[in-house]
Amino acid sequence: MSKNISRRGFLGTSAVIGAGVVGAGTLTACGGSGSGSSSHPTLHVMYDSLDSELGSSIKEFEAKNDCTVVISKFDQLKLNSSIVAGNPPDLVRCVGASEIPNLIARGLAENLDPYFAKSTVFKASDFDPVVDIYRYDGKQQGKGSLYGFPSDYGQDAMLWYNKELFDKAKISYLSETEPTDYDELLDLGKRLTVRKNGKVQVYGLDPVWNFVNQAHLMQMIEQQGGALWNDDFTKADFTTPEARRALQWYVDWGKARVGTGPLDPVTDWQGPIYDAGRIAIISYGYWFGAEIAGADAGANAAKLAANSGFVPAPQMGKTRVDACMTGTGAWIPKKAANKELAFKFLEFWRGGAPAAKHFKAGGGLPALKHFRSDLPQSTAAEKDHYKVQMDNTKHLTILRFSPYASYSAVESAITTNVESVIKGKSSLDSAIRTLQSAMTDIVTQGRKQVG
Amino acid sequence: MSLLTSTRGRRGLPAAAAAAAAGPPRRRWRRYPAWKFYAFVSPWVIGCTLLTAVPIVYALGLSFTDYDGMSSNWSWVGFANYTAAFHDDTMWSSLLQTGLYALLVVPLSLAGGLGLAVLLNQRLRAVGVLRTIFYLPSIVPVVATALMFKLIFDRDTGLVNGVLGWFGIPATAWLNDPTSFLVLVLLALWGMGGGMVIFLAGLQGIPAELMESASVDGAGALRRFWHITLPMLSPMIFFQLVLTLITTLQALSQPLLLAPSSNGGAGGGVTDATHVQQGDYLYMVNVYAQFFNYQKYGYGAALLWILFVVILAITVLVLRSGSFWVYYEVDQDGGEE
Repeated sequence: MSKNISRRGFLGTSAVIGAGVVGAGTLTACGGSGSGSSSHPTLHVMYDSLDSELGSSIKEFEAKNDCTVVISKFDQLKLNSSIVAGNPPDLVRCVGASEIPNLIARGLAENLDPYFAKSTVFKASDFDPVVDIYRYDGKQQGKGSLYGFPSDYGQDAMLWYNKELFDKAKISYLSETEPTDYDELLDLGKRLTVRKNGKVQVYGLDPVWNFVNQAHLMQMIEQQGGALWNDDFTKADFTTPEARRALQWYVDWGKARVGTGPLDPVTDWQGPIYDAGRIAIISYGYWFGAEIAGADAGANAAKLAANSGFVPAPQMGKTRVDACMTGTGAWIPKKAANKELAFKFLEFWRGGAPAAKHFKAGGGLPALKHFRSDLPQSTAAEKDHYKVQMDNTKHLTILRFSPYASYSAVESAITTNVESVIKGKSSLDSAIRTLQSAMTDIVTQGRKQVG
Repeated sequence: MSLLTSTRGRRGLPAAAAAAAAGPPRRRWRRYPAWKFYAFVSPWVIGCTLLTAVPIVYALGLSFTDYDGMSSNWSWVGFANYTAAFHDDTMWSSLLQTGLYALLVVPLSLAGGLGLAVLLNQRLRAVGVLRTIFYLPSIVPVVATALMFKLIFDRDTGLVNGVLGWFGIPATAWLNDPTSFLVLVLLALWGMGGGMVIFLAGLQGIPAELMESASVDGAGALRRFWHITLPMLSPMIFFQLVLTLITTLQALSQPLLLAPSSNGGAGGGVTDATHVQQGDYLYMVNVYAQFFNYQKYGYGAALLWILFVVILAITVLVLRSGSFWVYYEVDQDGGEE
């Protein structure tokens, strides 16, 4: 029985063991869906904070549908790996407006038209126009079949402002019906900014740089009558006068150092800073009202909410454009194992009791119109914010993003190049040239991915 | 016997052990069937194959493609990613910045760790408590440490500017260029207590009679340190040098964590390489950006392979240099010096 261990024998046997294990792993990855038995399926949902939002109501869904729901945090790397392995989650989060065209064009998202047609919860007559951001007709966003559904939405460039800080600076409040001009807004930001001993005590204007920059630029360009993308979405043009003016505004804002920009980075996101009374004007959608009134704002929440004004997005030209730039929601991957169940979950989550609870707390605008009456209107401030928002939805615009450009790549290209100008490391002309070149690369890569 | 000589393999074994390995033990091993050996080593073989060899080969293959991490439409591009890398200004600037970072962090952390070890090798009251205090930072997770640094160095609400303000010194934006690089270096040095423990173990292994005889011969503290302590510690210094160099050249999480926050409330709090300050834009940050910002998995893999070759070359150079300055109590042929 005894046998000598030679080096060659050891290496050979190790290679066989290793290859066997790798092979077994590969076979498992190819064949295993990991979605439980068909009689009691496991629904995999990849969506941040959904477990805490839904709480015990998940149990009700599980009991009713005889399934197990596993919710995980959104992770791009895990999502990529699972799609490649043919084993994606059943329902996935996305920043709808800017991400969904690329996902659809790559053939990754399931066409949900047949599911919506059968649904008793989602009725087309009840859809808010914002649902269209999840439509794609093979050429452009906003038309055609539905590939997802928004969790909630807002017109993301609308402005919240702290009336107390306006009073201190002896500045009259912003108009609730007419949009403020971008240049005027920057001027207000400069007047509202308070500095002491090299520190900024109050940021006058925070347009939330680094959050859907592409969408903000698209809106500013369209307000001037231009367009960032050409008709077939194969070219973004940052060299037009309209695009240049929009970029210049961000450079002027960054150099003025009146917000949490590249020269004045902050350790947290802007919500707690606004809550602390340190931001005078901030650009966020309706959902930010819940942040102001929420627990994070502490004891001063009610006072801050009462002192917060909410007004339409600023304008850079004559064409009124006030878009939903995110419309974050969920889509079902084409290769998902439990598509029917995933749609049921979508109905439960955004058409059932959890949705009513979410909207009662003011967590964004509902994509189903009948939930609008649930939005908070118990205080004078809430009534005021609601009225401004309802009046402003008349101006809701659907921006059309390129299916060939990945959201994160475009954001990175814009951020890197504009920040280099703000930091004085390059001129705007040079940054526009580099940005234009980067966009060409991104679109070329994207067109290849789409195939 | 030093740490390094103990892991030298057959050529580095003491003569007695080497002789033993060549003689009777071979016959003793013959009493065991081969499968037992394979059963015992299989966890390591399987782990190494799956977690090291397969990813390395996979990354090498990936570096010759234009794969984006998700799309099935990819193709072989030959050496195009490598060619692009050598013409990429960001690659060179990030590599240079990483070199500068390593040039500062490696010597400072070695000198700091050694200095602390020498200080805490004295007969002091509560020396154990002091050693624990200096060691603790090295076991705090880097995420916690980096977030703490962000709070301490925040321009508007940070402790550092608060203290400077008492003396009328205007606030500095520490987390911005160009001072952000200084904060990054300080963050790396924060964990020097880990090196201190290894040096301390080395110091306590130095025979007291050597020090005593040097003292008797009239050698002062500095001379004893230079001619006895340093040579005796040189294997530890060598070991620390190689490890610190490799980890420093691969630094990623520290610059990402020190970067300004993404819009956590609205954007999901995703760590974004785009926000990293230029001074902190190390090589691995660029790699991370290529993978996760630009979805250039093929290009990112090529950058990783370039870094692998750079680290390998530097490590080989350092290992070769060891024969000039590392002193082993046991010589390489197995006999004691």
